[in-house]
Amino acid sequence: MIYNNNGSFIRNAVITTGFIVVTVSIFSMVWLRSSIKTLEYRLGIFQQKQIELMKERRNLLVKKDNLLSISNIDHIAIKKMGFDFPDRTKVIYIKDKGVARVEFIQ
Amino acid sequence: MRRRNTIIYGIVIISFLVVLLRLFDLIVIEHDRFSKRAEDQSTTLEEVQVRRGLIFDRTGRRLAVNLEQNSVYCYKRLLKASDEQLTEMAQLLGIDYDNLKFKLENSRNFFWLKRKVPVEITEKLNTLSIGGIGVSPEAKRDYTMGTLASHVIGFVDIDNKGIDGIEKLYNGDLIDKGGTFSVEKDARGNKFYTENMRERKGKNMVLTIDVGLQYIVERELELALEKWKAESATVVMLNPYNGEILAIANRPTYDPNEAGKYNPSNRRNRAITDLYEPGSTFKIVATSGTLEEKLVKPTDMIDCSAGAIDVGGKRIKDAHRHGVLSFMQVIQKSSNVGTIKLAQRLGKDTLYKYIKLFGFGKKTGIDLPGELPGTAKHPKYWSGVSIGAMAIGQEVGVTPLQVVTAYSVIANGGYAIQPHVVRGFTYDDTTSTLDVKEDEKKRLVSKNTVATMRAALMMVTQQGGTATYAEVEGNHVAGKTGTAQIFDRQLRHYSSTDYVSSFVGFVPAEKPVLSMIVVVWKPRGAIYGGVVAAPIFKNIAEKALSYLNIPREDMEDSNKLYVDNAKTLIDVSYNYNKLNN
Repeated sequence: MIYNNNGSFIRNAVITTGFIVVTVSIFSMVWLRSSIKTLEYRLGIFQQKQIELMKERRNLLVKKDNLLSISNIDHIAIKKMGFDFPDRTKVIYIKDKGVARVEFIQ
Repeated sequence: MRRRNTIIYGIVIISFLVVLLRLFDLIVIEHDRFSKRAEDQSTTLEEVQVRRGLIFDRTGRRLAVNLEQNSVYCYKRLLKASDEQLTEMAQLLGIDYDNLKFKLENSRNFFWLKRKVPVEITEKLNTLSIGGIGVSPEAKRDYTMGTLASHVIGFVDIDNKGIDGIEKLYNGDLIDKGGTFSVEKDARGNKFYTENMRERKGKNMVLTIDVGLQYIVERELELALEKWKAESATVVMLNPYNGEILAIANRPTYDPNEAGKYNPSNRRNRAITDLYEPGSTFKIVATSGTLEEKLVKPTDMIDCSAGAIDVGGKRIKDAHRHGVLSFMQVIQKSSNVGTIKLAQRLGKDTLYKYIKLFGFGKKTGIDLPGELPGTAKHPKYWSGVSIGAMAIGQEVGVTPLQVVTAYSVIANGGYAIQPHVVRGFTYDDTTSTLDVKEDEKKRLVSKNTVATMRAALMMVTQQGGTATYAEVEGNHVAGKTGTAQIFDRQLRHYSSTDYVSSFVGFVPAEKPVLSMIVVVWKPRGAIYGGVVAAPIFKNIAEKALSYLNIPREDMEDSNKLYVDNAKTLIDVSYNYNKLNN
């Protein structure tokens, strides 16, 4: 314990300081906890948004897959654009190395 | 004054003591109860979303995926909706208003209004803010390729449980167990961030199917079915070396996205469930058997000049009278008489041994549900005619898969294979790189037998053979035709109008990249396998070889154009155009 001639002054100062420290600490803790909760809340919103966007991405990928399905491409290529499977008899072969060899059969 | 102070102090102290006691009660004695209540009020338990694993083809194309949708439910007790809101909701969900009213009046407290509704619609529904109506996220299985490979993939029910195909057989791998997770929420129900797992997904599956080849097969099969006005048809294409199924197509077929709308018979995978008498394609058993047992040499001559043979009191004829044929010609001309004579050299028990050796009368073990083992009765149940009938593919029931598996043994040099449609599993959503285990090879027939049979089967598609229509431009084909009458169970005799036409073979004959069977049930206009099934084989094989970049074998022929390597494509296109115009 701190006691001297000016004991009452120091004591009062220590008590006041202690009171302020305790009060500030309590409020700081409350504020910190509240801030964490706010952040968690905001993160929760972002997380929810992320989940929604991921689902949307999945659905868009499914749409892309459906658009790129072979039967769909076939429908467009063969029926609309007039493409057909390559005629094997008119395929040209080229060797990678040495003399290039080309096959052509009329 | 002092007494009053004492009383006040006393009251304050007692009050504090009461408060302290209550606090002790709340904090220590009743701790568990209140902490649980507090947790219940601030947290909520949510269901872990379960998603099925994706299904890829061998090249990484996505065949079965999950579409994110919502299911709309109703809590009848909480329902607060005006007639206008109900009308609007019925329109949005595509439900008849009267049906909706009937449901609301006659259902229990909780019921589903509509399962798996697109998200856009449920978003509109939410703007109506109808009390008691809620949405729950659910995934809808989507088959991106529609009818393509539907008999392999199968489909799922409304609860995403596999009902057919690999969706059924591998249901346990494709789906993971669900459960719940806790998440903190505030008074308004807003949820806080959580690291708990919100979603679980099963393993992704990679098939051996190649969608490109599957498409070629399905397209040609569709055209053929239309041409021959056939009742049904099947094609199975596989890698003869490791049994990987590259394509399986059946007609009629169905779209797994709306499987319920189709006749159940359309959903049958005829390649493994439909038994038929194979006819001449079964001759591979007796002929290979006699070679393997060294009872015949390729150059041996067999007298088939009578054009018929009596077996067990029954006369079995050739389609055409042939004369004396070599062993090779017996196969090339598909002589019943010659094959039966060879089978008689083998005897009942040895013929039966080779029937089993080639995998008939038992399941191939393919990883698809519903496979039938076929029928190949034991010699003790054979009649006098059985040895002749079985040698030419009668009195046996086989599946198309069994036949093509047997021919793959000749194609791959004499080794047993295990047909399968699943290459393996992956947890990755985009790639399909997997370690594929190679099984130990088990030799079934000798190299010499394979070489002779390969040469004989090649003769079948060449001039003088029964399947010249199966010949592929630039590559040799080895194969065998089959034309079998269908047994009419009601009339108890073979039909004179209904046939099964088939062709099974492999290409390129010397170094096969694929073996394939084409089976057409009840074609109209023609019946012979060489006329009906062989051209389908040819059309598919030509396109498949192009797709697989398999070069022509006749590249060394004289009809070639050589250009200098340095000039490459420019000269090629120049010469090509010059020659074309």
